[in-house]
Amino acid sequence: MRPATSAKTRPETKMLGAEMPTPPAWAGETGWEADVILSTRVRLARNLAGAAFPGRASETELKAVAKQVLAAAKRRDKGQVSLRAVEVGKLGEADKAALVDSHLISVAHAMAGQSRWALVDDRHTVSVMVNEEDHLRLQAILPGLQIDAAYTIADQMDDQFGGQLEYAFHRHYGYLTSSLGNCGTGLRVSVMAHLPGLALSGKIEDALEAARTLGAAVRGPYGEGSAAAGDVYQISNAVSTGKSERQLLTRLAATAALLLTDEQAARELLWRDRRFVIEDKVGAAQAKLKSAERLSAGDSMALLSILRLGAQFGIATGVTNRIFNELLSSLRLGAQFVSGEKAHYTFYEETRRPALIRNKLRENKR
Amino acid sequence: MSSTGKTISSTADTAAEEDQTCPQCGMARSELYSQGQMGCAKCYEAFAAEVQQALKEIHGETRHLGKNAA
Repeated sequence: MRPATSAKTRPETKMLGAEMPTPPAWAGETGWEADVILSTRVRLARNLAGAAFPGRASETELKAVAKQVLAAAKRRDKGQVSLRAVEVGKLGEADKAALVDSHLISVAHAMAGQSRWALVDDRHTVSVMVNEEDHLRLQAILPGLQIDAAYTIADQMDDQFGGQLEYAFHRHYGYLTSSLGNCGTGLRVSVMAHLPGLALSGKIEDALEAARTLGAAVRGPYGEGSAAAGDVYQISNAVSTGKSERQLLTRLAATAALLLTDEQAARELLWRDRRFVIEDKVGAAQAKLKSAERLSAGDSMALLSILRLGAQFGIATGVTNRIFNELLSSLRLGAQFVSGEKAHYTFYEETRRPALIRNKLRENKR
Repeated sequence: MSSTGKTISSTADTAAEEDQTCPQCGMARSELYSQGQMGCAKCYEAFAAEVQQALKEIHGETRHLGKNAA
């Protein structure tokens, strides 16, 4: 059963459902090295001058900040992206999880209290988290490897808000953030990389260590503190100050290129030397999917990972790049992080996943 | 709490400095150590020594070289 939503929260939930295209734009496209890089995200952290940061602010201050930011979002020039506001605290759990799955809000934002908002565009390419760890977290997310394009979108959005709001900025430290780990540029550029070839070859740790040596941080697909699942890793810049935005973007692009090449080489070798291993694993995954009555988020991602790899080698698994991304953004995988101890909700999600995946693959065959 | 908070450590020499609070948001130095997050923009000046040290540890640099606020 879905968890009950109160009458008070229902209108917002319904409104959000109507706004949400399924899937978000970033999931439905391919190209841009999409065999390995699922998506690229750029985030800029900003705070308003004169207001306590969200972790320290009173409810009244949070409300005042949200009011200012929402007003700034409404005033836009021709050509600037149109954003719709959603009050996160008033959403039902399923809708919160959907926003997390689409990577439009963080798990922390989904779980925070009142006066937390998400501003999203119709295509779910950009979002602004209001009163997360910082007053504004401006974000652009694009399919495949598109670091410059994603930064351009986030940078324009930053100019749009920065033209109307007074940011907390220091001539020496740059943009001031709640966490010193984001201070300076406030920039985090990250790519979501699917690395099953390196994992199956036993080379994943070496590859990730090389990425860290190049100045990257490695996380699971749902950000800080989340475990890697389905061989999907989030690779991002580890520092945010002492370097320009351009330098940080270039360095992350070089790291992504290295992982891309390593993963492609690993896949080639696997297919050449250990084809039977791949075929066995794909066969086992197909059999498990056919008979499964419930699937955890981790199990779902593991199955889809090997089926996607199989599809890359020409095996008819049905898990194309597009289907993989769509399933990742629609299987309520983030629910396990959002729901926490609410076992009934997790059980509901786990029992519906096998059919959702099977139906999606069946639809795609038609 | 942010993992970067762990890098904020005491640089204060005297008990008087230990008691210092941010004049804008009221955050005490001890809270900064325990929470690892800045309370407001003014905290960057109120706890300048800690900020400098932590930025150096996290980023290897303290000076912003990127975009300027409009």
